[in-house]
Amino acid sequence: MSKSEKKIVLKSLDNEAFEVEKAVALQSQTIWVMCEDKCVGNEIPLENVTGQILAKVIDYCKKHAVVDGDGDESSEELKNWDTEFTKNMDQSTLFNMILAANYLNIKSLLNLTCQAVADKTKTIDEFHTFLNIENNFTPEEEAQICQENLWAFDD
Amino acid sequence: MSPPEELPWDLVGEILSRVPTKSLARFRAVCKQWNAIWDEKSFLDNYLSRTRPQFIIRTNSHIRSVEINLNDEDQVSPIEVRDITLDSPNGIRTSIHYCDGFLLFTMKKRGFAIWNPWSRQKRFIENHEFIFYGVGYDNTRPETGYKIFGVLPSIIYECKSDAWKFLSGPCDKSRMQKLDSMVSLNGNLYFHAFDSKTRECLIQSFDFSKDIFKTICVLPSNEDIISTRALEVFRGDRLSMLTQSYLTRKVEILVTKQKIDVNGEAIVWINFMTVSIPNFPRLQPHFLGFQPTYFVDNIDEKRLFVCTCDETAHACIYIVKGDVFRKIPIDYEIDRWSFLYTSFISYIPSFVSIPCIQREEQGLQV
Repeated sequence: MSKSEKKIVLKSLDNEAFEVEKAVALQSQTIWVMCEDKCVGNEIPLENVTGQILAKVIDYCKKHAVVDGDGDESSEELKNWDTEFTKNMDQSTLFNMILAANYLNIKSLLNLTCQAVADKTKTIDEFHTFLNIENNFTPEEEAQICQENLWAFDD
Repeated sequence: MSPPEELPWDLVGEILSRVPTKSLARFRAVCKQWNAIWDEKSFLDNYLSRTRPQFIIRTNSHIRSVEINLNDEDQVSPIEVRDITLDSPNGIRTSIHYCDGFLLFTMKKRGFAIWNPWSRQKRFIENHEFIFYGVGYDNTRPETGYKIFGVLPSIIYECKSDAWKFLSGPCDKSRMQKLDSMVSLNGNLYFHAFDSKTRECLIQSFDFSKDIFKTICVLPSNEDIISTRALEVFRGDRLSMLTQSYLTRKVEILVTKQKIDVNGEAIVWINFMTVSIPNFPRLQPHFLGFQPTYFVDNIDEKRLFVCTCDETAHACIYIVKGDVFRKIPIDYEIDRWSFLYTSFISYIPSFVSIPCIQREEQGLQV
């Protein structure tokens, strides 16, 4: 890709196209490698991310591409922006954001979204729902673990 | 929205490594895989590198864990204290060491206990000959087989096989090893030493993969008289060192630039923070006093947390941020004469199974 091409197009799983600045998209290691390795041209197909999620990922990348490298004030502002960004996301969106951040290999976004889930999810039931997993302990095994960790259930 | 598919296991680990310890204790009951995640070394390393340490304070009669919680500014006290006293014969001078979430509680000429206060697992090994100083493992092997290091003469106890192994090789008498400063990092032990021939301060290691001592680095000579020198693990894979000047009381924290690998490159120290506050207390207020413990973090701003005792020999925590420090008194008196043994250590709680737990079930209990 020549240096003159400053914009690239990201195409989602459901064929939604987003035109973004290269500097924004290249925060994704996956896209960076795609640009380096293959001559994919200006359009990059992202087969694992829906348009709805990709839009949010691009919002995040835009924000971080603009502010990175500036002074302390903006880093405080960026932190607040990050908090707001994940604050009202429902569980399903967060789940898909984690998958997308992992697939696109954007470390800071993976960190942010995993931390958000860790902060929001307080009970065992919430984790069962969020991750779609079942409790596969026998009642006896479960009772024993709870017994070992009684102190952790005291509030 | 359709119900979510399954999250890949490594991403579950990413989330869990960010969950507070208390919640992690609860989440062991989510499912079998979540309970077993503590046996995965990659998860454990990730967790240990992220989690803020807690302090252990040992008095004559009790062992307590102190958690610092600074997220809620309105709290009256930012600390939460838990009594984790281990049932053990009273009045025995002891030291405490830490590795990967479990503790080694050594009783002079009586033996030692391996112990995880968070999962309530413990095992006692009786031994009347040696003094034990640290836990580690051979990090070149895929499976973590914990070993205990003891001295006079040097000896290794292998937890899994229940075997003792004497270490041969000449003992370098010119190297005075400060074994009570021992920290465990990536399986190996690190401690301060002093070379009486060259009059240099060193950091040495004990490498469990080859069972040998190594000199890791010579510390830069310092014109100040150093009253305190403490060694800790930084972010799970690096070393950190605190020094305090006797005269100016200035504190300097250095951290290693790269992660530590005994066979790797030479250690480069970089300054993490310097504390130069008028009237800053001595971290070791008594001559030959207790070795303080500390950790640093850099979440919003660089902060130093020190656990030590004050002039009146009462335990306390100092939290330093920029030019401001705060003292949190803890109302436990530390026995002035127990300074030869550990009173304060930093550790990260975890739910790692202690080695050889099955033996405890055979009736070997503390």
